[in-house]
Amino acid sequence: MSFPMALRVVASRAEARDVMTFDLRGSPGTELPPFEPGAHLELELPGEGEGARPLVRHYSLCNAPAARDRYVIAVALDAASRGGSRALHARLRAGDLVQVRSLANHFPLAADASRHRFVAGGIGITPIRSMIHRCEEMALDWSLLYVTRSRVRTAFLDELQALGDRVSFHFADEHAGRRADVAQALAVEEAGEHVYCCGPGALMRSVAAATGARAPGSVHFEWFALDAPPAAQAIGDRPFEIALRRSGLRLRVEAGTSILETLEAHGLGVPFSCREGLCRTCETPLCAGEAEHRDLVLSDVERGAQASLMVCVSRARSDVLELDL
Amino acid sequence: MFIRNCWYVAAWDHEIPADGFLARTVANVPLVLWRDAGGKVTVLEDRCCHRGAPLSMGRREQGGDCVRCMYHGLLFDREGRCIEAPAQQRIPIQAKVRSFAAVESHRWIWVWMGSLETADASLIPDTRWVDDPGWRCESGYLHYDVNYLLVADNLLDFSHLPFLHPTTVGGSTDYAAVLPTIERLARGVRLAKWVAGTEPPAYSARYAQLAEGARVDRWMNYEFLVPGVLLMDSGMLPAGTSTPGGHRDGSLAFRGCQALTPETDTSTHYFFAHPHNFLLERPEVTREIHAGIVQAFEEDRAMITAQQRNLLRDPAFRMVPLGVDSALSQFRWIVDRLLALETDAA
Repeated sequence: MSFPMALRVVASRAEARDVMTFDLRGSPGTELPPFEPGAHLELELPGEGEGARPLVRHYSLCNAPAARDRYVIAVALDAASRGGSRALHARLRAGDLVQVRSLANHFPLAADASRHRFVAGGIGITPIRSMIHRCEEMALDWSLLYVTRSRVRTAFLDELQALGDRVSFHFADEHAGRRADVAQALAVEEAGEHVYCCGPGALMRSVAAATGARAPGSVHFEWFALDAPPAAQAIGDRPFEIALRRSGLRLRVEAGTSILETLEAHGLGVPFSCREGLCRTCETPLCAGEAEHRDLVLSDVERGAQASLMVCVSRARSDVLELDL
Repeated sequence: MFIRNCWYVAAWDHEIPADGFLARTVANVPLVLWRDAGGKVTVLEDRCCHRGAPLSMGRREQGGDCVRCMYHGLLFDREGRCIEAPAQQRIPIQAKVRSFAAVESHRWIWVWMGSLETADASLIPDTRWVDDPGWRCESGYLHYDVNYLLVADNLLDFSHLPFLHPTTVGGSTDYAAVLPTIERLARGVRLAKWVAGTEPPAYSARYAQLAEGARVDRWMNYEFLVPGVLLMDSGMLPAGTSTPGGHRDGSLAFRGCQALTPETDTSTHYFFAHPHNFLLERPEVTREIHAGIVQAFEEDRAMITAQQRNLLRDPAFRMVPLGVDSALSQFRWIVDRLLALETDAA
């Protein structure tokens, strides 16, 4: 079979409060295109009401990649749903057909990692569950920190508990609502280990802060397209250009790559320390253009002045930033 | 690991006696320092090439042009060549002790810890105020049981002054709240700040004969160079009479000179002087200024020593950086880069 394809929901079940899984298959005996852990589907869902435009949504696969006859997705009912999760929860039932537009993976397991450390928040468990399946099949070293609001909202609770002490849970309601101490959990770094995080923005940011000193490329994030605020997502995803006044160079900063990483890739490293916008070491004069400041050290006045930026985290609002480098 | 191709302050001039040795470890290398027949400072590794005995437990001979190991009697010249060995006519060429380039400059003994051929005297920082007749100071030395970079951190972030030194060099909070501008240099960083119309600092206000409540313009510009040499230019003028980079006529000024020299990975020599340009005819003023500086440095030492103990206790501890760390982080980056260059070249 090839994309796009219509798959049938052969089973749907509630995994936890407001979390449902949907088991999608082709006609009996059909093998589906293979996927790697971390992959997601792009689904086309019917819009609400007569003549409504179809909704396009992305859902991570949570099943074992070895099972070639099915794609299983887990969907949380989002109170602020823009239609996708509500459409699935309320209307999709066993026997229904769904349109699968494509399969993609921005969150693969690192082949060279000696150990995989997963941090999942809420429904962010979906791609990580698939990754854990692969780790178990291949007897790879792994561990999971799984952060949820409460036990009843924890999808796959029983099966993950059965995996023993490689899984640690943090149920916020059992800690007076406090967040998990991610910095503590990730304080000790083993050589060769990779970190993977999928969950709400606050969790992803605290994992990013706790792993800022780690080797570039050893920490991986899966951002839910639906969860990221549209504006932030637009800037975060957007590539832009930097023009270097002194050297005359013009470089493209890709989405997902920082200005600092781009400079380093061209042998133009500037002093840095934290790489997370905390220490002000990589502050670089801004000659022209408007920066999207994402550091924690500039004052409001300094932000407004647009005279410098931290190249480790900050990005561009304008198409080009001219730097005094 | 320490930068090798670098001048380190090994001693004050008066620490090397006319007729004896000074044994001092610099960057994990034990050194013996003495004066040859011409009074020039000679520096060898303090370890006889024969059985490893310290030469500093040996004997100056030929007026200081030779040193004899007093374990088995090997005699070495100023370049560290063995020129006499016990009960042996032919001396192996391997019988040699490593020698180091040394320069005596403004009362400090600088030693180049790289190879002799690469020693470049033009890289010795300018500390001329230490023995300039227009300035006065006393010689200071403290020993720290911490890695030298922790002391460098302290000297590159003066936001700690009002907290750690409220009664000594602290100064007013409005002055402390002004962060210096930072400029990257090839072998260090340059910090500069100038604050108009602030309170005079307690430790020097009493010499300025200012009216009660009078305010001053203060400046503080310094370079901090590898391995850890601080060249300070600080001072004050009556409020409204100065401009950044402007005249210094009639100023109350200091030219602090400080040098951190790593002894081992967890211990540091700290050489310092705080030359001042006023009341030169009153030696008690120089003594008071020096005592005030020593008191402040003791405050630093107590805190940084406790900090080092904490850091050694838990190697997994990760510091949370803040904006005030900019200069120290840039300096550490420069240190790392110079170390990487030396590793690549080796």
